[in-house]
Amino acid sequence: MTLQELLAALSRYWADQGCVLPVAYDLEVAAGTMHPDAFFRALGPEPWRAAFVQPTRRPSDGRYAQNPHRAQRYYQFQVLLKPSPDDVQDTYLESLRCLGIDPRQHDLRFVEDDWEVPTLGASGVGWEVWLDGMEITQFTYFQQVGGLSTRPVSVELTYGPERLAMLLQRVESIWELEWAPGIRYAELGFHAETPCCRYNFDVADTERLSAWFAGYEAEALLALEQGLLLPAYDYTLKCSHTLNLLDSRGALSMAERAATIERVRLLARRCAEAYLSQREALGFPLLARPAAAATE
Amino acid sequence: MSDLVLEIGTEDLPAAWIRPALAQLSQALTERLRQESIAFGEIRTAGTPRRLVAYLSAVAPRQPDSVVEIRGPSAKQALDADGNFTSAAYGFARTQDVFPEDLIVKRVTGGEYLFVERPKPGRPTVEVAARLLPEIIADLTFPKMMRWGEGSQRFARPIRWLLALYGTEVIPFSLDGVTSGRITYGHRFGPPLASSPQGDAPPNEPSDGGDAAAGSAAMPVTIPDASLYRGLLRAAGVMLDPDERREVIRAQVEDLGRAVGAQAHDEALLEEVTFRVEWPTAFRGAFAAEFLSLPREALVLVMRQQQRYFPVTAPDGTLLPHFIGVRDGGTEGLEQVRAGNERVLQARFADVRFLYQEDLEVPLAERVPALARITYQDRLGTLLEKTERLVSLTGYLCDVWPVDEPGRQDALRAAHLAKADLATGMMRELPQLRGVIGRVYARHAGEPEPVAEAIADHYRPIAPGDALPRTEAGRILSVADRIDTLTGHFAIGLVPTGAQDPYGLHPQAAGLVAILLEAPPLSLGALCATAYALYGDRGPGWRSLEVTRAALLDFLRLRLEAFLAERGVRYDTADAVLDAGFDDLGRALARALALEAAREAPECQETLSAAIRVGSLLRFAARSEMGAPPGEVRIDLLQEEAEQALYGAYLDVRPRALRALREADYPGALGILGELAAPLDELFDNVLVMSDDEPLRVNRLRILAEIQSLFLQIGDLTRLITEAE
Repeated sequence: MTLQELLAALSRYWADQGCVLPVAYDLEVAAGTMHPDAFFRALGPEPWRAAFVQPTRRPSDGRYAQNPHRAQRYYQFQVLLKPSPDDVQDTYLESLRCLGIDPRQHDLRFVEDDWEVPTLGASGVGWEVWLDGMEITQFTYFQQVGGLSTRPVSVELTYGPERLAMLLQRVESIWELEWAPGIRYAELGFHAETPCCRYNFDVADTERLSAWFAGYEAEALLALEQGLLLPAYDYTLKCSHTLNLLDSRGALSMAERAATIERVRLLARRCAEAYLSQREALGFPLLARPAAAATE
Repeated sequence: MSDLVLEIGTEDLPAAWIRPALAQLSQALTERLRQESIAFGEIRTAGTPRRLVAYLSAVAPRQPDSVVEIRGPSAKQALDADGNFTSAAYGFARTQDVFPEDLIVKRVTGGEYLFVERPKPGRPTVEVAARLLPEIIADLTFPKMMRWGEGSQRFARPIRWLLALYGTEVIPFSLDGVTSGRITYGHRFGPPLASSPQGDAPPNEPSDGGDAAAGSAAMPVTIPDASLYRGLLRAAGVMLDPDERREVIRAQVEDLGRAVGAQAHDEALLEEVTFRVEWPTAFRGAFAAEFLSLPREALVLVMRQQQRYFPVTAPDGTLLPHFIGVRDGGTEGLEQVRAGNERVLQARFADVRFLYQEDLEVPLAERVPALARITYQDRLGTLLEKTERLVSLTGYLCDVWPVDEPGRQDALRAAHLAKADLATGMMRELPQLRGVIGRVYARHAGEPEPVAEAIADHYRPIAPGDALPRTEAGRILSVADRIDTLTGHFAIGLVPTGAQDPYGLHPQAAGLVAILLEAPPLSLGALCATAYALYGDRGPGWRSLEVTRAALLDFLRLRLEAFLAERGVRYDTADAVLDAGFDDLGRALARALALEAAREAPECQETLSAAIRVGSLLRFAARSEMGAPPGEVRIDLLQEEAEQALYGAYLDVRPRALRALREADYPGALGILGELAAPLDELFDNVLVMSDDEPLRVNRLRILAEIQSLFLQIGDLTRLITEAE
């Protein structure tokens, strides 16, 4: 199964479970959770089901393409189900079966893991799903998003499609994966991995990045003052990515890092509050939607 | 009499939480059933990641019948002078719906009253349990609780089913939308293959994408009778009893190790893995021998903590390129499971190698300046500043504990490098390796061996009962690091309260006390003052030395009391010794042990009681404002024979006692001071110390005060709780 077949199969499967299929967000994000159709939708009383592929950037995770499992840019297949269904573990296992993975022939484990995206004020409880010792999915019941308690609780499934594909294609490294017949993952990604690592670790101008961080933050605040939710959130995401670049350059002491994270978290919280009050003003329209998204 | 079983079916619970939850469950059930007077034989609990189970044998079918007494008006109101019922009595009978002749008069505290006795038939166990069980489940607590779906129940992980049976009968209740029943679920992937687990089994046919039916989710299992629960669950692939799972895993792991002539043994990991599986099957994997050139500690950490594998060592202790994992399930696809785990470990080791090789490019000493970028604690500066203080404190300790010049050079160098590994890449991935990886990098940079050792050593002891630093430099550095940490935190008021210890100061203090108890003499007060001075002037919010030190000494005293208790020192012995001061911990320990031994020795009893009388009398005199101001004993005022004899004996004893005290020979000192017991008794029997003649009284009290000052160098013996009291 090629990687693109795998992504298509997961999309198909979750569409059948009543999920909306938005496309990836067009800014640098460190997690699929940052997609507005995940982050915001987890807030408030409205039901939601969505699944999408999201390219993800984590500058510090780069290994100059020397590590078989790690890269500074990779993909997440993200599912958000709200409220979390009672049979979500079984539904998840069924998705693996539809990829051709028979859990009985493997060692499949739900290993406890408390998940957190500090810059988003988001945290939850759940597991890493291990398949033969490899983490293939992060499985989280959101308890807080944007610093606000979630009610009802959403469950987020974040698949690592590269890892699943490695298993199915029986290859030892993500760089050898077949994306499409005859086209390797490296063809789409490798040309960028080493230069990006160089940039992230050695080249990026930290002074300029720090100044941009301050600028993005100011723009986010400006947009918030005007009640312009998505522009404010976009600049919040830019702050978050800039913070990660500064981090990979080793430019932040622990205290500075904590203080910078706190600045992004405050923006995220204000965005979350703005979203909730805007939806409330609209009368939480999805509450009225017939059960299409809430049940299949 | 039937069995009662409760199974709380959950999504996968954190391994470490299961045993404590089972203990809570057992305790709550026992208590609540006792309160409800429901008799049962035996209670047992069992659990896996997906279920918490309580199993009670021979449970009575109902509560025993009882009688409820309802009190009515007092006899005075209810009976007239002739003993006939009044209207109050008739009214009471009416409201209780009984005939007046059923009313009885009983005397209770407070007088005579009318009563109605009403038989209360016992309720059926099923009915009582239906009320208790949901309360007990809802009251279970976990280190971290969560919510799920639209419900409001909080639990460790979502509750998905509840099985509750009394014999063949369902105990009906519901909890946050889940209704109890007789349905449970077996192993998530069905019962395992029956073949015996074998690490080197031939590869199964890979069946990915094949036989979908074989991989279908576990089917529900219906339990007709509580007594059949365990057997049916076992047939469905769940080994319920943790002790059984643990022993199965132990045997499998040992066998797989033996097959390569090696050992794999780790109780803590065994316990953890026991609670990660419902049906264990161990397998052995291998990794490329070239990884054995990486630091052993890193390899073991990755295997044990990240992957939960048992590392495999040769009889001589060297690490072998094997590991043993435990999968949840039978032998299906075991070869595939092994290959997958090998791939993962390979990748993890590759990552360690990447960081390790990158770290080795910069000698450890060159990392020190980068510590300026890492905050130690918001208000206590950077790690570079801490490093500078460590170097100064190390110099101080080398002066106090005379350390020879080479030892001093090693300790100072180690202090300079102690925190440098915190600036390496390895710390990003494996922060638990701090110190240990510093030792590796120090050796690689050609630092002297004692320096490298001290870097790893200075974090010891990490937990109570751990080994102390093994090297002199490590011991010095560990003391320096701990006193710096404690003094700094106490100076900014970050003092642990109760069990709250966010900065980990309890283990720091316990480690400091453990080391100093075994170390050469050292003044704790002076050490704290030195550490305090090194922080310099820190402005507002920074507590004074006196406040800081007093709080820190109180804190250390608690740790010290715990250590003394472990050594068999009774708490009042500890109080007696510590109340008299504990500036030098080694001496405080010796004093406590000597005093504790003396309390057990028949020949010392008179000494102790004499000392206690001396102390008590002095305290009495001081409290009654009849104490003696400091001053010399006057020979010319020694009128009585007994006081002359006592003072003579004191002058004889004093130099010898002082020498023994100076040499920390506390049993010897107590023996010498014992020579004063008889003369003291003579004095108390024959002389009125608290004489009305003030000069005489003052003089006698001064003799006693001098004697007391010698005893106080061991302890304030008036704190001892004697049997007579």
